[in-house]
Amino acid sequence: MSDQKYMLEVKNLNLAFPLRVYKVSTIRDFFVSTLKNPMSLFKEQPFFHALKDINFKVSPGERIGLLGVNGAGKSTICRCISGFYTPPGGEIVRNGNVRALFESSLAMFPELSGRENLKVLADIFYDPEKHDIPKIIQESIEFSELKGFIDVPIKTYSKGMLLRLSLSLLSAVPADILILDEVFDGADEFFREKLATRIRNLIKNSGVVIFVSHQDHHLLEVCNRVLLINNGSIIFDGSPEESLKVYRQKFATVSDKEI
Amino acid sequence: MNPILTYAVQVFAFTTIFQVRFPNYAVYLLAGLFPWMFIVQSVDMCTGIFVNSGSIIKNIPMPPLLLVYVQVLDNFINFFCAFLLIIIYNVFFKSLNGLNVLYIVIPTISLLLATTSMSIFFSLLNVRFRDLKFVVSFIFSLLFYMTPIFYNIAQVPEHFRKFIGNNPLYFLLKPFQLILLSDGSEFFVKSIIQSCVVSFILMGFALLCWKKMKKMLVFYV
Repeated sequence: MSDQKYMLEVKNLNLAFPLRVYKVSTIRDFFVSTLKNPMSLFKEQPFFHALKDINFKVSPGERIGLLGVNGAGKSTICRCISGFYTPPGGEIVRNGNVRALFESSLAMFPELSGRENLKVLADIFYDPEKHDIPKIIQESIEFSELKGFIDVPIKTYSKGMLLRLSLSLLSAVPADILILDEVFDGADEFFREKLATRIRNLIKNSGVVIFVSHQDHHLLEVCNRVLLINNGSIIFDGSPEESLKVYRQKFATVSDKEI
Repeated sequence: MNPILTYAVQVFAFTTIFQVRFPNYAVYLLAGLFPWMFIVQSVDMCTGIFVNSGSIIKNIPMPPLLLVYVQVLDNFINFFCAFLLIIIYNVFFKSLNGLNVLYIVIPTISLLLATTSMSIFFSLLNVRFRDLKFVVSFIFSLLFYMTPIFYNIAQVPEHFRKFIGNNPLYFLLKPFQLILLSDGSEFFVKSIIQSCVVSFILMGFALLCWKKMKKMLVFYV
């Protein structure tokens, strides 16, 4: 039973990948590894546990930051919440619509122009009964400042231009559950400043926010609670200041030991 | 243009250079070659589609199979237009039975479903084995010679005929060859049923693979 006072509940989230799929990714590799060790076919394959027993609840108005070193599992949690990953273990209860902006939201159709891509993506991301899609597209075109390039196939765009296009559209309307995964990275400093203002507005008008960043000042500015993730587990849950302190202590110690 | 040009070159090669002599050879070649090219092009283009569209699958909330459907449909429209042009030419300028052409609807749907199923299967398998494209391309070039497309099944030596004649891909092409070359429906009803059976088996197989892989697909692309 989900508790309606929470916008989002993540219960016992577990995710594991069979390592063989990544190690043996071609038919040639498969033959070589099987010839080297024929018994490996019958042995139980080792798994990489990307997420281990993740549990947390998010109340309306909470802005949750996810903090951790690269590969800790932050983006994997975001992708599970946004529904792209269907984890075999655990449950995610979402009491509202989810919109996710990933740093790599450059998944577009290269042969189509910027305007055509916006039309396709707007139809996918926005509900025509709830949103005025032509208005969102027009507003996104103006916000992206791509001017004459908007009618050019996006295969000619730079990475920054693609980022402008996708983020302009995806950040146009608030959501009940908003996921922002390192969205401030990648754009030039002028657009980043403009985008930051728009994202702040978006955060203010959205129900709850899941925010991933490596920048202390962004976490302190946006979040009122930060989860510290390490090796696929939550190792600390507290205020942004406390979490950043624990993060510094834990990982500074690891680096010192390694040195 | 690609199917029409390939067809023109093959007709020239087999009728003028190799002097193949059996009635209506141009129509026979058309009936086998065009559906074959549709299958091969679709499977070839779809094999890498999930791996190449990894960022779309990971970032855009849409059913991944849509990518395969769009690609197959695009090839189908090309196949359909080229096939129609050549059929119209043959109905008006060669003595092709125009009424028989109407029977092609069922094998065409069957061909579309079978090709979509094969495309789904190979695109899923390619997620697991990234070099599958080369193997698929080799297998299909081998199958081209083992399927009666530019030769007739009657020309195949007796002891190989059963083997060649039971090629599942041949079951998909056979109704096109029979419908375009025969005068009465009694010759091709059986082949239409065979084509539908192959198509249903392939669909079932693709569906099973999809059910097994769909949850993990996004992790592996």
